[in-house]
Amino acid sequence: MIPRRLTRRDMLRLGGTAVAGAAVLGCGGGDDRRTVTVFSPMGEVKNQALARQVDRFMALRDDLRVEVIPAPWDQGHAKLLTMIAGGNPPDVITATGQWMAEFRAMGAIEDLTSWYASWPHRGAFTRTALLRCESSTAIEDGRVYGLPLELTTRAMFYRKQWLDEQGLEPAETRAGWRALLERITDRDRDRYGYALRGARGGFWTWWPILEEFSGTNEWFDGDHNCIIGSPAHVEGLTYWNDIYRDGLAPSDSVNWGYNELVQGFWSGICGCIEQDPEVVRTCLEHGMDESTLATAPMPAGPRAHVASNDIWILSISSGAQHPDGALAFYEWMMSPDQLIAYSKDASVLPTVKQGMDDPYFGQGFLRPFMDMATDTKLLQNWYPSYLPEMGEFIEVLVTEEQQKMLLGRQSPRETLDRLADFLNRAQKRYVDRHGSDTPRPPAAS
Amino acid sequence: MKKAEPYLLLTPAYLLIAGFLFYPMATVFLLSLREYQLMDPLNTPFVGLGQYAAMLDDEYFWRSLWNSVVWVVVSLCFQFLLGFCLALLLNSARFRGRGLFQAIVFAPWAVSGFLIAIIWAWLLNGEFGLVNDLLIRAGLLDEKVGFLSRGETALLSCVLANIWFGVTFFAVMLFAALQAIPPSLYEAADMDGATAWQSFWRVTAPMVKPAIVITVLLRAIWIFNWADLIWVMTGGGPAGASRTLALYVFQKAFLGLDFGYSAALGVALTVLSLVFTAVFLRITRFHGDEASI
Repeated sequence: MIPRRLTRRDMLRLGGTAVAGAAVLGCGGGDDRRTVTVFSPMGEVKNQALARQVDRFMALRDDLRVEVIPAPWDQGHAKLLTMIAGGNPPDVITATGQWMAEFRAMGAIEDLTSWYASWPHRGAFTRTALLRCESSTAIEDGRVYGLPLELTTRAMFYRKQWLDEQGLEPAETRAGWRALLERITDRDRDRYGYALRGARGGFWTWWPILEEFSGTNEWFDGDHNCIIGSPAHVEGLTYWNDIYRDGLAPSDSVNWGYNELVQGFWSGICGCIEQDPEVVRTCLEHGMDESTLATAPMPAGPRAHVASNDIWILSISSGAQHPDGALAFYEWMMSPDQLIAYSKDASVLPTVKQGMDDPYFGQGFLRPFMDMATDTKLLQNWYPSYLPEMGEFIEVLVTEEQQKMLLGRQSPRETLDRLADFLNRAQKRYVDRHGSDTPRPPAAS
Repeated sequence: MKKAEPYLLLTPAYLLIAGFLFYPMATVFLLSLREYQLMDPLNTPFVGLGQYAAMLDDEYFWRSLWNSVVWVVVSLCFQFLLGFCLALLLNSARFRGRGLFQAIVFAPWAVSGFLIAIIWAWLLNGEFGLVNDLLIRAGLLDEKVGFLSRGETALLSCVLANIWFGVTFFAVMLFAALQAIPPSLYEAADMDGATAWQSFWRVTAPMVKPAIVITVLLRAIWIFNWADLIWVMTGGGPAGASRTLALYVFQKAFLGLDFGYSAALGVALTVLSLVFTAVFLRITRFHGDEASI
């Protein structure tokens, strides 16, 4: 049979059927539950732990669907900013304390004061957690914009076997730590002392060292001149640079970011790293245990002992699509039982008093983190996140300049001079626009 | 009404092109005239060509541009030469097991850039990389080299991965062009007493020239704009040694959050691509009607 040619009418008929079919398919199978979005830029381990909490919540509430929008930690800030600036904010926001002032200034965070006033668990949080909320402006002048989800801080991870072979203990001072790195480095056996973060995020490891060597967490003097090029700061950066230059870290580590760093530790190339508590879980998942892993407080520098403390805060977006659903999830998630369950699942530090007595947090691998996070005598690590140029500073400029230094193309002094030059211009622009009353770092107690 | 019909029928196409091509381009250009930092979205003053002036003073821009030139030229030369050789080999009538070989040769083109980057980053790893191991065993190296962590070798390492990936593209396209040459031309050349060399230059080369021009042009633009391989292998480092212009645009926009400046860089990238295309087509005296692929 010779096929008939399609007429225009046939074409219209076919087209119409296709469109109608698509419409029917498009309408069918939809989920009529309200969807609450939760932005979670805390890294894979914690994002997954939060997602498991969400699953538990959804099992209780069949009228709500909660969707976690995960993001890697180092892209979280940019992604959240883009979502808010693009007019499509998430309903619930997980943010670090460092971002809080900025997002509040943008009007992106909902005021929860009236809800909090009648919330039955308002007395559950530890003093440390509430103080951190205040210093991050999540709680300010009695008004509540967010509550503490978890405390975070850094401690040192060691390959215990390497220390045992040399009869070493975790170092308490930077001088002792340098000597320890020299002892455990054995290039003939492909062993290096330190997993150095030479690429993105390296700033988070060397800046606290500069604070330890200078004894201050200030960045600018009273006249808004950047002080990070002082001799003491240069001394601190030289200390970090020398670890690489002297071969105590792998040569490839000049290109290492977070993933390579953590992998470099658990895979057995490097003897120690400093990291957040959730990396304990990553190490255990990769076969490390009490016989191969040890954690200890960060070593103290010559002029200060610094804690890289931060806090993760849960807030509700002022542009939430489903404020009621968001609050229902928020209320459930912030109850002490859920916070403890989440903290254990992610192996992070709890923010509620009932966690303080829990042996899970007070013993074992998490103990040094707990000590660092609750010791009020330590100098608090800080950086001027209010400067709009900080994104470019940390993500582009610092990486470039620190790599030049690690490769021996410029000295630590030249590196800091170039960074200070950039910051002077950024600070001047900020002062010109917003006045000279700039945010200041938390004072050492 | 009759006169308007063609225009009416073309309108959807024009609207699509306007909406999906010209509108974003115009938006990017307008953005490049503003100081727009995502961390300060309420403060976006109009600065005219200020971002472009800043670009001329930006040492990272010039360094990235130079890296882009090296990245494109070296990658392209080797991809083309090796790809052409492969295509000739596959086209050879005496070549046995051609089907199998063809499938193997074309495999890299099916692999994602991200995976290629991961594979090559491991191969060139300074501690446990296969390349280091082989070179040391062969006695060509005394000790391990961090190919990706040395300023002198980082970009060339990325180029090497790119060559491996792109040879296939040229082999596929040029092989198709070679297959389209009528055998009668070679028979005629043979009867006229042409040597193999003369057959190549007088028959093969002119017949595949349109394919060569188009593939080289397309590939040059793709490589110029391709940033993910380098991003995964080295992140543009160390110290910007492997940062190309396309990667710099990405870093400025999504790491530095400076959308105004990155828009200006993006416009520069587009203008450079257009200039290259115009010059290349002029030099090769290429006209669209020659195209055989």
